[in-house]
Amino acid sequence: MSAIVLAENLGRWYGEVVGLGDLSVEFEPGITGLVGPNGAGKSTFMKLMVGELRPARGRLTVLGETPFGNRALHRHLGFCPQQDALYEHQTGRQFVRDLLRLGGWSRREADGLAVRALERVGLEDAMDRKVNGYSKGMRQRTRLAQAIAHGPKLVIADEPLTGLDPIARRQTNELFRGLAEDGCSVIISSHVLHEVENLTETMVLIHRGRLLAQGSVREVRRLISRHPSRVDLVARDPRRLATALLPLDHIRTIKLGADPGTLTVETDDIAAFHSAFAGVAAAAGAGVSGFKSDDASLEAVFDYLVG
Amino acid sequence: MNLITELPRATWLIFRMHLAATAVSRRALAGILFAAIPPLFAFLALNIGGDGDMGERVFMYLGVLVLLQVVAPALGVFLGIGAIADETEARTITYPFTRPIPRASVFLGRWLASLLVLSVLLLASGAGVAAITMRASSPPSPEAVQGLVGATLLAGVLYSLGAAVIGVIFKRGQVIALGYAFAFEVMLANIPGSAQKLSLQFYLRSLFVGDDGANWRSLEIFEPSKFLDASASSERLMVTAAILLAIGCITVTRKQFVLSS
Repeated sequence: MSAIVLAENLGRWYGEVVGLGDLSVEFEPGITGLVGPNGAGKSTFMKLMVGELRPARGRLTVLGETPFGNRALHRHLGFCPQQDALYEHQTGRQFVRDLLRLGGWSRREADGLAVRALERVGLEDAMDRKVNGYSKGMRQRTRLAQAIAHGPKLVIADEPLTGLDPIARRQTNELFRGLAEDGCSVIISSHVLHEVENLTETMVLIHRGRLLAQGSVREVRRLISRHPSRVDLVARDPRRLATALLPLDHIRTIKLGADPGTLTVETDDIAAFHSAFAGVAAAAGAGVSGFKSDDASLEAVFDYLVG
Repeated sequence: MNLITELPRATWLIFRMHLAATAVSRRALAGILFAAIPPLFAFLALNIGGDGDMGERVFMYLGVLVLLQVVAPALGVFLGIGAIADETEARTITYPFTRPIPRASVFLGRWLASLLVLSVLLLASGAGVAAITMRASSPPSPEAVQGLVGATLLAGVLYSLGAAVIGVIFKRGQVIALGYAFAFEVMLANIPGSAQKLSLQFYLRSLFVGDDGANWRSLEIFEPSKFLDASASSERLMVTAAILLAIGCITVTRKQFVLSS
């Protein structure tokens, strides 16, 4: 499958501040989560992808084209920016319609497409109200509507779930899944990892403007096998449990927690730990009452990666 | 669609998108107040103190010293600077810049929307001065009115365009544009010698002075009103100070000051 986004040694600075360091990455079609902490370079990367910024170094192609000032490419891109900015004097419908008209649609066609997009994001009842009276979530959905209204091949959404209530969040996730089913690729950035985890298995982790890892959650986990898995335990006698676990080969560290009865174990082989734990704990008689492995959690992977 | 056909189409769409918002923007509302100053001054000059026979001279003074040298540059800067700067400050520029249109159309469309509002304000201001002074016993000639209003509109075009360009280049362009219009320009335009040719004002003035420069020379025979005596003058200055103090105290008592975080 050919890459929809290809970045090679991509760099972008803001004066002396590094927005993106030296990023080389490929995005395949489908839904991809672009994950990283605040300041990782996600928004800079997205602005480069949609041609709002020009790279200071390296090469970037989106759908096979160089993005900056590429009008032909912009016909196939939809961008939902992070910033909460709309033309405040307009209604939601006018906003989406006028932006569609810039794409060459007639007024009637644009209005039809705008209404359809606003219905798709659940704003059918509010579309004729001025956007300056919208809630934060409604404004977010308006931004999404303008990004999908023209039927793009690729939607790039910068923190699209921020500010949405749980119901709107679920609807938005369904919207992205629907777009993907229709053949549209979606790139979503987030610093809240479970948001992306709920939506896609494919992710790209960046930090300080560089690629940390790429692949499915499991693949990323394998890539970082040098990092330990963490297990949080609660026991009546944590010291006895720690003493019993310590001889296991794959145990890297054991730390007693600040809360009474808690301890955290780091292991190099989570599967071996799972097999051995029940027997060791029972033999020690430490009274285990809590077991929480973060191994499957993207959050844990991310914590390890970014230190 | 190629650039030749796409640029005017996109410019027209951007112009239409922003015209209404520009017309009711804070900048335009402040502009209305500013544009009202020359007609107000004309009315005061001709009706207070019985100088009703000075229509032509009042028109020329207000036209040159206030409308052309102050109001047109100020409104040009205030309205022109927002063409791109307002979009970047509001962080909405992402939307047009990620559409399949030439980026230049955003600048052109927004500047033209500002220019239309500005031209209406300047035209109303100039027409107001002309209407008031033409009712006086010694009215300005239609040629002088035509020339000055034309020069003022052209000043609006140039100052707003200059400000729009400065707004594109610099982040806080308004200070630079005002500095240019009211420090650099004023200094160059009013010092003797050929350095005047470096200012816009020189060329704008050239539009209406007449072939022999008679209109301009009429400005140089300025005769001030008869001065007041010192005690009457002091009394009026004290009253003005008291009024300003009262306004300041009432405002500071009633106004809510919202502090930025």
